[in-house]
Amino acid sequence: MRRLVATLLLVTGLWAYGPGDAVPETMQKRLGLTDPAKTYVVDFFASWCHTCRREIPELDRVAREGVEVIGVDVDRDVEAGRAFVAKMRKKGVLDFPVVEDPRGEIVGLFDPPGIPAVYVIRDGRVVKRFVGAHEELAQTLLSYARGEK
Amino acid sequence: MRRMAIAATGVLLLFAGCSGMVREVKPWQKDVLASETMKKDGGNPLFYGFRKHIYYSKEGSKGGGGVAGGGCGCN
Repeated sequence: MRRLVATLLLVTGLWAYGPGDAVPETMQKRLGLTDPAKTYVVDFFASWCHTCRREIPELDRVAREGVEVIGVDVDRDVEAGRAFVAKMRKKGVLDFPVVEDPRGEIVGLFDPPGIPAVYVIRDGRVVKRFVGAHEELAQTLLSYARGEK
Repeated sequence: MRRMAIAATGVLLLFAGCSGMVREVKPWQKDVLASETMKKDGGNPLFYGFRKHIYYSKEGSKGGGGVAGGGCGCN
């Protein structure tokens, strides 16, 4: 019953995902969070979001350190989103998989108060959430990935 | 007193009815607001410069931008 209520609240957006919340299995599959032993970093970004653009190279740094980073492109204009991702890949600052979410189904469930929104997920649960610009994001995320936090 | 209470209730109900018309725009839906054409200058810095110049002239009496003027936008 608690799970049903929690799912309903999540679906209605009344309860955004925060630290401690479990990510539904269907969503974990969609994002490719297949290994519960790993720490995943999920980043919600858009091509029109300036802070997101600045943050992507930081996340790329984290990905190159061996951390599983998954980007979620929330652009409603799919072509604009793809062009942006292709441009970032060409620049060599985006080397992690990106999931497209033009209808806002994934981001709607997480319901962050702003973007960019970075979620650290471990064992199917949200460990930490970073919203907006964050100083030394790469360093902080690596600390979480190493289990130091 | 009774009339005031009825009026107050009516106003409250009116505002309560309006709440359904207000829809929150989620942060990931603000792509249109972030568009270049939504900027004050419509994405054209030269046009913004002209408008700023005219604006400061018209607001000269209020000291806007330190430029005094009669409101003609000529200086």
